[in-house]
Amino acid sequence: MNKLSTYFSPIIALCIIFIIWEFLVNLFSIQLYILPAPTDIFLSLNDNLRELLLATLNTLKITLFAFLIATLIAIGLAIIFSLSKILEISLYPITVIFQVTPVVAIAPLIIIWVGLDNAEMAILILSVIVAFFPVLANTNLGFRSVDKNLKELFLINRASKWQTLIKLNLPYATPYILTGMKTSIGLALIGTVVAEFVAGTGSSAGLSWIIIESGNRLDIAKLFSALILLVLSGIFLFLLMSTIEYSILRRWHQSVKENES
Amino acid sequence: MLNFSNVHMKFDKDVLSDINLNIDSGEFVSILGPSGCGKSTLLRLASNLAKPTKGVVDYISPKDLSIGFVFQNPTLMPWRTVMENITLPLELNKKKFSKEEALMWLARVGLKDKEKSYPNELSGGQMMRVSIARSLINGCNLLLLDEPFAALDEITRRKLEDDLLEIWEKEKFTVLFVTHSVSEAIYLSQRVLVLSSGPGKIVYEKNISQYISKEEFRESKEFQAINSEIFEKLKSGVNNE
Ligand SMILES: Nc1ncnc2c1ncn2[C@@H]1O[C@H](COP(=O)(O)OP(=O)(O)O)[C@@H](O)[C@H]1O
Ligand SMILES: [Mg+2]
Repeated sequence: MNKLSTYFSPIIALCIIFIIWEFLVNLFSIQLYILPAPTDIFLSLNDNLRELLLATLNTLKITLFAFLIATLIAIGLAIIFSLSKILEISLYPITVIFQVTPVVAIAPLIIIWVGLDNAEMAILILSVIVAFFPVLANTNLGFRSVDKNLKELFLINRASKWQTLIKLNLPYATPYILTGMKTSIGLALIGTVVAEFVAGTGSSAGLSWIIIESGNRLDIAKLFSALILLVLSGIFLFLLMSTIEYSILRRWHQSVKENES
Repeated sequence: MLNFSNVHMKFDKDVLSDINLNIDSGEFVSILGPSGCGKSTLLRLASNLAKPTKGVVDYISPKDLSIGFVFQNPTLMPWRTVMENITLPLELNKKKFSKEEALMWLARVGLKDKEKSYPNELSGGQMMRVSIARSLINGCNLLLLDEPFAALDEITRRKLEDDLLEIWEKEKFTVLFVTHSVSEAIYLSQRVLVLSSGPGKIVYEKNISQYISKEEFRESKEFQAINSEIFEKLKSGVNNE
């Protein structure tokens, strides 16, 4: 397998699926409001391009913002946990509660708390809640995995807690943190979209709003175009994180080295 | 330099018992013993990473004490270059240092052109050299080594032994060298201590006097004689296994 074929095979497969889809829709003359043909979807995408792109940008903006906040909170919490055992055993279980509660279930509460006219803020908070746990869990794992001998080396050199954190724990945990972030960025998008659904109209004009609205109007072609943009957003975010991960770990981390060859 | 008096160490079972040991400044002492007899524990006590259950470990002049520790694994930081790895102790002690000084240490361990390499680009022997340079760069006066060459091939190992000896002869720091290789202990050190297992006790002590060059010494009859003598002691010290 060469590099080119790993990139192009999925694209070719997708094209074939579209062709078959187009063919079947025409063959059975399926109604536009049940299942539009790919050409109908692309036409609709083209017609509504401006509105759709604005909505995509809106959703992406909240997603990225929530992702950043979630990452900072998670790493901060992990650092606090690494410094204080008592805080770790008292607070870590509470963070698990956030993780296991479906975002839809707490959405109404958050929306009421921040005010109905503050939909974007509610969406942001909900997205943060959905996204922060993987980074917390992975950073925590990274801190716990720090090489015992390296820790002893720092002790022998009388390193301060701060030095140990900055020069040992954080760099050692970096691959773990990045793994958590790769999961989190996807969750942030899901969190944003779900929260947009629950928050309803408000001032938010994300992709969910277009999906709801075109669904109500049985404009399935437009609904599909919004879905396609949502999928592309997800892929874009994942590639973004993978690129960041690669450029940080390129020089030293084994997993990157091995994948290269 | 370093003194153990009536040191006992107990985890789930007794690991070290009744260790009395005095090491003079500038001395090169080796500790021999079967695996699991408490050699690493002894080094952890010597470096103050652990406190003895009973007894005292103390130093002649604790104020000027600077310990270098070489682990069995090179224990390098993969995210730092060779250069950044060896200067870590200076950084942690907030000491100003020149690049020339660090480069000098790299040259002394034979890694002149490797300053910008990352650990995963080095061989096992080269990584161990980085580890040794790192332990010495802060002007260490007590060097503790825990089976540092155990994972290396014979040729690399002999090279590193000679390089270590050369640096030691110049700098005259105190060395406590743990190994399970009898010939390595005899070749390197001025004094060999044999630990028994279960619990670890010093069962034998041998001064190695030297009047010829190291190379000749390794091939001499006397070396062989000491080797068999110590090996017998080591064997009889292995009990409870
Ligand atoms: N931190 C520890 N907790 C409990 N047992 C330990 C600890 N460190 C060492 N031991 C035990 O002490 C014994 C000696 O270990 P060690 O000093 O590593 O031996 P050696 O280095 O000679 O192989 C072993 O049986 C080991 O299981
Ligand atoms: Mg050991």
